[in-house]
Amino acid sequence: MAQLSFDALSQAEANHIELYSNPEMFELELERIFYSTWVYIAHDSEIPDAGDFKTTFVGRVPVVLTRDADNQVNLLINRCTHRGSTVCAEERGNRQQFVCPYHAWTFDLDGGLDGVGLPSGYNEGEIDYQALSLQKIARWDSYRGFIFATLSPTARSFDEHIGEAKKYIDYYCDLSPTGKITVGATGIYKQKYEGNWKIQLEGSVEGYHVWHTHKNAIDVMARDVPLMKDYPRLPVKAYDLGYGHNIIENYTLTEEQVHQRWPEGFVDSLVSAHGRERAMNALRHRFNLVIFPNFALLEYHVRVIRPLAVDQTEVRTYHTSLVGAPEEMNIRRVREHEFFYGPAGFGGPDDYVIFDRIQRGYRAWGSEWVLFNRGYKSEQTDENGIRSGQHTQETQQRAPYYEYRRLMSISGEENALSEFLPLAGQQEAAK
Amino acid sequence: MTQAEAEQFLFNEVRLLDQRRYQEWRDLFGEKGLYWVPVNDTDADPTINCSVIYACGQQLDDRLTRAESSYFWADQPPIKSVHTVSNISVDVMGEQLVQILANQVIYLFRENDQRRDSPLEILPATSEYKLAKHAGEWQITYKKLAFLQADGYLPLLPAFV
Repeated sequence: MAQLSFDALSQAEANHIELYSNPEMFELELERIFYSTWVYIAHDSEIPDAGDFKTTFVGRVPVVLTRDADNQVNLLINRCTHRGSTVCAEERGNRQQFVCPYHAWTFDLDGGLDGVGLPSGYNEGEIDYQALSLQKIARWDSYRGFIFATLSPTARSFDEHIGEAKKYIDYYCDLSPTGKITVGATGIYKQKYEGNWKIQLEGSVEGYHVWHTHKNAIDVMARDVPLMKDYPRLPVKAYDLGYGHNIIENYTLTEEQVHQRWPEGFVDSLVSAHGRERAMNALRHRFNLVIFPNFALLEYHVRVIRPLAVDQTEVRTYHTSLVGAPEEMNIRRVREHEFFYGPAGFGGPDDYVIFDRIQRGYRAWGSEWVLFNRGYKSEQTDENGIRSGQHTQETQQRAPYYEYRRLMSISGEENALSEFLPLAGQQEAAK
Repeated sequence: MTQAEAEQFLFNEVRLLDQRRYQEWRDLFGEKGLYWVPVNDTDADPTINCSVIYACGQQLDDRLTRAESSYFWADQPPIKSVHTVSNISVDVMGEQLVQILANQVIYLFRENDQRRDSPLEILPATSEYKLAKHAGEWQITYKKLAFLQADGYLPLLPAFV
């Protein structure tokens, strides 16, 4: 596998099915992507109070995000530093300490080792409390409450990494008069499909399928929003934002359309909260944003992609609410989201059944290429190097693979991965 | 409504689902009947939180249209179901009004699938019904179906479950 050239398997206009169906490729992706670049962890609204925690995963690594008594956020590896049990079994909750069920090693929410069971059995020099804290993921950062982390000490800075995506996160959060949103507090759909994680990555900005796959949904939506019927012909675009990130515009309203779509009082509240320019940007732009490799931001939700195996993926859909917005607006966000998504929605299930079918189709040796060349020849590149195309073309599907090829071509050693795997540093210190 | 009548009502209701007689099933809800399948916390307020299904009136009609549409890809080939209903308790709240609690186990299976190994999905659930008598017929004014795994992975579902 190490000899394979990723440039041969992943080309500008097509990927080889090996990328989606070879278990060894999946292991390399965990190492070279999920353990090497920035991945989305959670939103800080999920742990609002001291003592709150949420568990999740970086690749396969179980982690726990906590807000400690000093209101500091900590991102810890959920693994007892003694014999390896997870110290927190729950998905979410509130507590003061984590007690390992095996030998009562007890950790504070900042990871500090507070005590162990039967301590007198340890001789002098056999236990170093300081060194046996829960391992911290030191490199995490956030933007507008969205927390990302990387296991790699050499990954680019977070600020540079999300660079071009910031503008869209601002548009999204500024639709709230307080600038704050909640993520998941009003519902989380938890689904799995039997397909590779990259199918959802590509599928989160898929403008080409909408009119056909989602005809049921569009027929209903068009009663209130007639322009949905014209979706393929809308004058909107999709952009490659660099570093694998990309966006597809769903619609971009004119100032006049803004006033037709939104109640005057709401428009005014945003203008007085954020100033006119920020408010209008928030009101005008609807888009799907992908931040490579595991995060997407859609009109009413945050989507988190979790790779489980080469042919198995978890997708969570965290509904978002606007803190301080009129209640009827948030209720409409609930109803419109639930209409489309979830296991019985009018749109989402059709995507997932297709993702399953795509993975089965990837077994077709002899027909080995996955195409995304639509609009390649007419793709524009602006003076900042941003590529763009029409929204039903495939600039946004091509976008992740520039970064993918770069990361996959870097060897594990260069990524300094070994420092983060089997707690080597702490074992050294404990000796 | 007697215990036996309540049982017969529920047996008939879920049989309509299993036989995909969706128009007849939808008609049990009339214009005002509410059909609720919660997600995550099954006691959360559905008016301000997302659900798997929270539908009434026109939304039930739209779902019926989808059930019969050739664009319902998630139902191709069709997902068949078997419902078993048990632990039925009836609370008569008046001559014309009754509440029924029941447990259900819903089995889903997609037959005629090329993959040949479609998983059998098993969905245990608690359910709550409120029925009202209209023109001599019992109608569903409220049906809540709370899956045991409402906060876990749920399989793709038919239009009505």
